[in-house]
Amino acid sequence: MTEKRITIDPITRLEGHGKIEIFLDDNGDVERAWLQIPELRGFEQFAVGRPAEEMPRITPRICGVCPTAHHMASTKTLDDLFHVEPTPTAKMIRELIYNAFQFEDHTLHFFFLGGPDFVVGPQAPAAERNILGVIGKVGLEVGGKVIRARREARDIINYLGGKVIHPVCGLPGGVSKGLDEEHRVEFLETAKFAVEFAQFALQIFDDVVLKNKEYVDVVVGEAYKMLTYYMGLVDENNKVNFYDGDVRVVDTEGKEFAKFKPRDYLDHVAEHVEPWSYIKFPFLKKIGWKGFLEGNDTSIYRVAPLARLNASDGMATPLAQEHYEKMYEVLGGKPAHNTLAFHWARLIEALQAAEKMVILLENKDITDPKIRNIPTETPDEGVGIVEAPRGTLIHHYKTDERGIITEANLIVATVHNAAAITMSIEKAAKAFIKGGKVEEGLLNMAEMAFRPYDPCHACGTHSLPGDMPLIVNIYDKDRELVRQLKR
Amino acid sequence: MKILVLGLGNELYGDDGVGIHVVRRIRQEAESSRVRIDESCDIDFVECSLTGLALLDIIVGYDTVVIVDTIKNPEPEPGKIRLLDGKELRHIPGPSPHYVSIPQMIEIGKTIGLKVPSQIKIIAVEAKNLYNLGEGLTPEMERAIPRIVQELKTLLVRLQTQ
Repeated sequence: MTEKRITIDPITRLEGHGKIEIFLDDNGDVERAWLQIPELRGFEQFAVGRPAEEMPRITPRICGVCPTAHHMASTKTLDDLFHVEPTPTAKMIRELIYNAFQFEDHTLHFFFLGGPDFVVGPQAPAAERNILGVIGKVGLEVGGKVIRARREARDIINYLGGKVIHPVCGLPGGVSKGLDEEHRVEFLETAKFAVEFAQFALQIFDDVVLKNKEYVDVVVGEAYKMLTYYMGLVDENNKVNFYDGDVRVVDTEGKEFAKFKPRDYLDHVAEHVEPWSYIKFPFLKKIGWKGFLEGNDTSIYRVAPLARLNASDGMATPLAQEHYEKMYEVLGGKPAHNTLAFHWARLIEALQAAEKMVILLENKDITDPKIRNIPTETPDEGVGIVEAPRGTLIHHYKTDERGIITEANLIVATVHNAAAITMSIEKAAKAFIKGGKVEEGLLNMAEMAFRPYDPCHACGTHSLPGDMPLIVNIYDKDRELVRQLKR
Repeated sequence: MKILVLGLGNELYGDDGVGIHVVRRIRQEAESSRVRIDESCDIDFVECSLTGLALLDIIVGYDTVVIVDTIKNPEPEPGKIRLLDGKELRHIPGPSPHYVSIPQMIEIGKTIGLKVPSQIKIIAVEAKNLYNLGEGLTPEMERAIPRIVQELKTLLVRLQTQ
């Protein structure tokens, strides 16, 4: 069969990893497309032989963007591994740090990444689809507010985390630093501003996206819709929880399919291997691998903000709950399969994170000095799960009786979503390539298809210049390069 | 004048951590007084594994930032030093906040009224293998460290006497 290939290679400095490849059939239509994502090659091996308690300091280095998520997942894994329950105060402090982080990361994502697609417009030149474009459209005050909200949330993380940039506070059974009354009062002000700011962001979404029929059509349109299962952590009332809880999976119709303890994740998640990618594609083990298939018969699930909302029975805080109800009303019920609604869900989650910070800081118990239970049991095996901004993050370590790592397994959000990302890109590509003709805007739309997931391509490396050119290579049937789009 | 020396990289990825190693080395020397730092000039040394926009929080408030980081080249000579000016960096819009470039970051800071550094100097060190996990530098990079440290000292002296 004649096969033509188009490559969108956004990450030249990653030597070809993370590229989008599009294969055309005889008619020049899209046969299949995928995004290759680099995995943490060798990390498991790197961990073996190290004391488990080093892991909360090592694993945050994996990612230059969300170190706090790895730190927290790792710390919770140590609780399980050393069989120790953190004190109530320690849990509150961890949850405060984690919600501050979730708020900061989500607002960053909306204003600097996902939001500009809508606020500035999906067809606007790439150079304008960033925070500067947002400022141009919404006004200068937005920039100052974004920076203030982020800085103040980071101040909380830095203070309690014990170290600027990479937190070091997590210990099995607790945290290393408590909160005094003076800081509680100060941080409560930050938290209240965060609530105000998250509402302000939702207002922008409302004004710019929801009041614009063209954008709403894109959000609810078929091109960005995909039927899958959804996964997320929930509390005892099945409400969204970022820091702790059971993992809940709902099916394509929103019915509970599974609910399990972190320890049992291997009973529910298995990984499929394809010859063309070194990424493993997780799927629901109890259904079995059905291929890159969407619809009621799929075994593919998604994680990330919208997935969490779909997998829950609601938000854990009142203001966020109001927006949750409004979102599902606009999207036509639950679960919502609209990939672009990830951005909306993200803002609703930012609001819950901010409200949660207020709740935690209004409770004076958070200044109690009992911040750690000392572990006394022999370590053996532990699993820790948190909801990272981009979705469910699983850490799993096994150790010998001295606590030296013998096995480690990490499943990051981008890997959970790998199959769905591949399918989202294929859908976008099909809409823009017909009869061998590549329509204008393919680059933008292919990007828009994977941006909601915000896949972490460059985990761990930081080489200059730090930006990411996009290249589309189009090959003819003999794999000769016939066209190149670049910016 | 307030100067920030920012060592960027990731120690878990071998030579990618060279910026961090260099900053650590020069700070140790400064602490043991082998580097004399002009008292009228404030120099902070920061090691950092963050990327993208998160760096904006770190560079705000300084007049000058000196970045030490790795750079890729199709045919790299590990340890080869290039001295670049921030103005020379090309801005390419990236599809993720993971990839906000330095010029874009400065522009954002300026637009929203933050005090961003007016001058950015970069000591870019060529590196070969940046994607394999492992601590420590390769012998060729280790050998290059004294030269990089010397280059950094010379640059700092020049910046202070400007």
